Amino acid sequence: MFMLLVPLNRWRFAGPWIALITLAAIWLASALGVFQLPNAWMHWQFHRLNLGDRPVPQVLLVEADFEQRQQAEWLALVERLEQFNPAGIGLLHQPAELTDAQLEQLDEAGVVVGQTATQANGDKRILTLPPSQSLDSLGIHQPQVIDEGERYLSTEAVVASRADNSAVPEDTFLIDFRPGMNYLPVVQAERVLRGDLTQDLVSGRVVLVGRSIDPTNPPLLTPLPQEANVSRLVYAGYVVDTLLRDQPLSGTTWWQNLLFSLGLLGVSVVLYFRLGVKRSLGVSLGGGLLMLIAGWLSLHLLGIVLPVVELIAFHLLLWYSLSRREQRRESATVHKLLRASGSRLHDRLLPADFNASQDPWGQIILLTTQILNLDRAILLERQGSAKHLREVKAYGCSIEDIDERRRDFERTPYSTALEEGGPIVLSKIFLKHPAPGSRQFLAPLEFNGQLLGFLSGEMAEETLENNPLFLSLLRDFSSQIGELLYQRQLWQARQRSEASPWKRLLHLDSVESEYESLSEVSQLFERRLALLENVFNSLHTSTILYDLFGQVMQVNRKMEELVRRSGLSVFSMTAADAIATLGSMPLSTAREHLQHMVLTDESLTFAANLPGVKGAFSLNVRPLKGAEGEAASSAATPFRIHGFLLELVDVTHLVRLERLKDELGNKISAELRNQLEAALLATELGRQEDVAAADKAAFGELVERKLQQMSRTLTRSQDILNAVQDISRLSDFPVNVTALAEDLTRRWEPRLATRELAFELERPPFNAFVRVDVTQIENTLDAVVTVLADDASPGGVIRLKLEERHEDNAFWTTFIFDNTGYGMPEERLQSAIKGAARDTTPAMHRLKQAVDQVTLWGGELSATTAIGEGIRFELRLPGFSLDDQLSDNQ
Amino acid sequence: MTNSQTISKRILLVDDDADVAQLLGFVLRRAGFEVSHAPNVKQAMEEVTTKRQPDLFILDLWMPELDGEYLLRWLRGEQKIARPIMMLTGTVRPGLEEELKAAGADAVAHKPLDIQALEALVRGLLGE
Repeated sequence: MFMLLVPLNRWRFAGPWIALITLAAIWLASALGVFQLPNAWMHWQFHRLNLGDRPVPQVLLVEADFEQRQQAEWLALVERLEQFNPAGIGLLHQPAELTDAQLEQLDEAGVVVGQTATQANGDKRILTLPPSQSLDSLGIHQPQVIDEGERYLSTEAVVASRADNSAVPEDTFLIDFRPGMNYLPVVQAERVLRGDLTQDLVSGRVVLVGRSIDPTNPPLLTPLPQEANVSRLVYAGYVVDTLLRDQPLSGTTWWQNLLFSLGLLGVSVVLYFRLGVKRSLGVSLGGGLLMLIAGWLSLHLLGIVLPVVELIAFHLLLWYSLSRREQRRESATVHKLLRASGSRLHDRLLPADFNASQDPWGQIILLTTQILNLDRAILLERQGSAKHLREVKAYGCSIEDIDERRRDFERTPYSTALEEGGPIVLSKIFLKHPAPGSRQFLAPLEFNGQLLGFLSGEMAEETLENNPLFLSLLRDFSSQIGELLYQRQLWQARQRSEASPWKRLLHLDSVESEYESLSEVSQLFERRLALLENVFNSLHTSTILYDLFGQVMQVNRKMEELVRRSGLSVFSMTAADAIATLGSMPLSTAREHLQHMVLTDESLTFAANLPGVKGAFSLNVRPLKGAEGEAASSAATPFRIHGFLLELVDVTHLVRLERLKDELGNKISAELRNQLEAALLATELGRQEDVAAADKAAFGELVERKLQQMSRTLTRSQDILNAVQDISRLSDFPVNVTALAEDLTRRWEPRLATRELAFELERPPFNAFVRVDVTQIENTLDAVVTVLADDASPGGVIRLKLEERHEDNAFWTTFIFDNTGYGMPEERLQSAIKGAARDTTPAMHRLKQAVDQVTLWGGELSATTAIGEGIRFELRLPGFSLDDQLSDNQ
Repeated sequence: MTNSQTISKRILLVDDDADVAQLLGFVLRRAGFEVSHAPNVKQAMEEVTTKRQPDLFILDLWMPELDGEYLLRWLRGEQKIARPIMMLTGTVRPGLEEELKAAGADAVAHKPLDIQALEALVRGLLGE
């Protein structure tokens, strides 16, 4: 019994015990008669679906009206019947008109005359009793009845035993209704009396005479369909026919039922091990259907009545219990996982050191005031679910400075900010004692659809006017602070929960609360994941992340763009394929490199080539290791790394720089060699005797001049090298102007073609360099071309011409752009470039950024326009030309 | 003095370095040749198209903007000039001489120049 109290979902032998308990339960229910009625009902239904093959009936039924027949007629009836040699004759009721002598005469003639219960007397013990109409004993005939110690025989049993000279059966049996309705032939007594019978109809059959259906003799309930209208006579006919055919239906005994159940159990065990419980519904329904078919076939083919409902009940209950047990076990596992995952994710997402630190908000409010240039600021937090606010942190003020006492966010100005759905600039004083010329704002702090607090602050009027994006920036800050407040509340709630000994002891947290908690933290993780994906996508380095098995997990935007240009299908390539393709090596070598990395955790770097992409790339392959703690906890796993990170680093400009240095070195070398050669030649000529003195003097001057040139060459060369190697501007390298222009052409030509525009580049006859950040100069040039393209008329042209100029004792490279476009008012263009325009377009905004950037490089970006003509830009940058620098010396 | 001596061979020297041109011009003139000097490729092209063709071209390989190799290919390719062309170079790079000869150079003189060797080379190219 103790065993049964053990929670089944935790017990390793739960399966066998479930089977045994189910078997016992069904057994008990069967013993209590629970299945008697359902089994009887099923037996009925099976009877109604008969096979159609009928045996030859052994009984002829004669319907007679017992009350209206004369004495002579009964004797004549018997006489007529006997002429056709029936196997036996039985009268279900004793005709009232017959005398004892006549009854004796009939008895001697072998006619069985039954009596109703009311006719019964002490001498005769053959009764025609009304059949039971209760559902559980329907169709069962009792051949012998013992009442008060007296044994009575049923009329049907006696007729049958006389007909086949057998003993009257003692046990009850099931009447065989399988031949269906209208099976037994029926004739009227008048027809018999008329002698209108045939030998075939009567000979060898038992003739039963009884009443037809009338108001005092209603139809009986039998397994046959209701429209069969079974009278007592017909009922008796089926009983006699069942006995004469000697093929009574048989039920099953208790031990047979047990065997069936055990057989079913055996099949279930096999199915359980083969299919598990995932298909339990199919197994249950399929098994039930099979048992129904087996029960029907058993009845009609073997005459055995199976306890179908009992077996189906056992089968269904067994599978339900097994499924339920699996579900409970899975639920328990899921619950445990939920709790563990939720806890782990909370720890990861809400680092305790931030929220647990003494003043986590001091840094936040300080950073906010510095970036937004605020003079005062206060961060207010909602108190639980109440509508009142309290101070979290303030800078340059306190909650006492708020010019209202209620701190109720359902009132103005809080409600106004909520209605606006973002920060508002206040027209009334919110923080007392405002500085002259200052403005104040109020911003709701919301996250995940919840109001968490408000941020209010004060700043100088100019701060607001000079920064048209102030409110947008403030909205971003509010959103971030809202998220931090939300995390703080989650952390505080968790701390409270963990601090409660009762909750810890009783584990009162429901599964729902676990789900809610996990759902909250999942949402936060989704946001963080989206942020990280965005960061990953925005990386300047082209990156692909592979899992340990070399399948692509993530590709960033830069890489997508690069592989699209090179025509590679990176998503269908494994890590080994990618390394082999990009690193121009055999696949087998790439695999060896990967294996090496898995075994050693070392990173590898290869020179990479991208088909169709101009430039030089370095391919870094890094194995991604798990965190230290994670590695320790999953020591059972064979791998220490989780995947590979492939980075394609664009080293084109570094390579160009190297080439520049090479070129510089070569030119210095050639120049010096030229100068030295000239000096040597002049020296040699000066030594020759046949050379005139004037020429010798000229050669001497030439030698001196050449030596001075060599000295200057070395000095200028050193200056150039110093400029190239200046490490104070790490991102700026000498960039070849021609290469820049060609790259720009390549980028824009296809894009402009889709807008029916052409790009024309006038290639320069010089070799100039500017010292800039490559990405930023590309952005700058793109910004200019974007404005020109937006302005260009269909079929128009955008032209680029490069010039080199010496002005102000310096070398300048100038990009001159113009277009055939619509143009615009000059003032509008100038105000956009200067950033004075309030309603600026994104393209003009980028142009303003480009102007600022060019200024930082020491250059200038200017523009002119005329309506109907287009726009002209001049981008002037300081640069140098190697040819120019070195030829200066001559 | 014979007729052949009175009609001296004309050499076009193309070199951006005026001092080197002065020295080479001195050496060649002393050897009896008529020397004209073009300080860059563009001027040399102009001279070729507007004046009488020289009997020998001496081209410095490295010059700013357009170099001697460009001029060599222009002379042999576009102008179909069959006169001998000698290249001067201070660059020591494997295969360079073969490249220049493939482009049409008849001789490649490496700096530093030996005066006697230079004279002999020039005379050889001029068939003297």
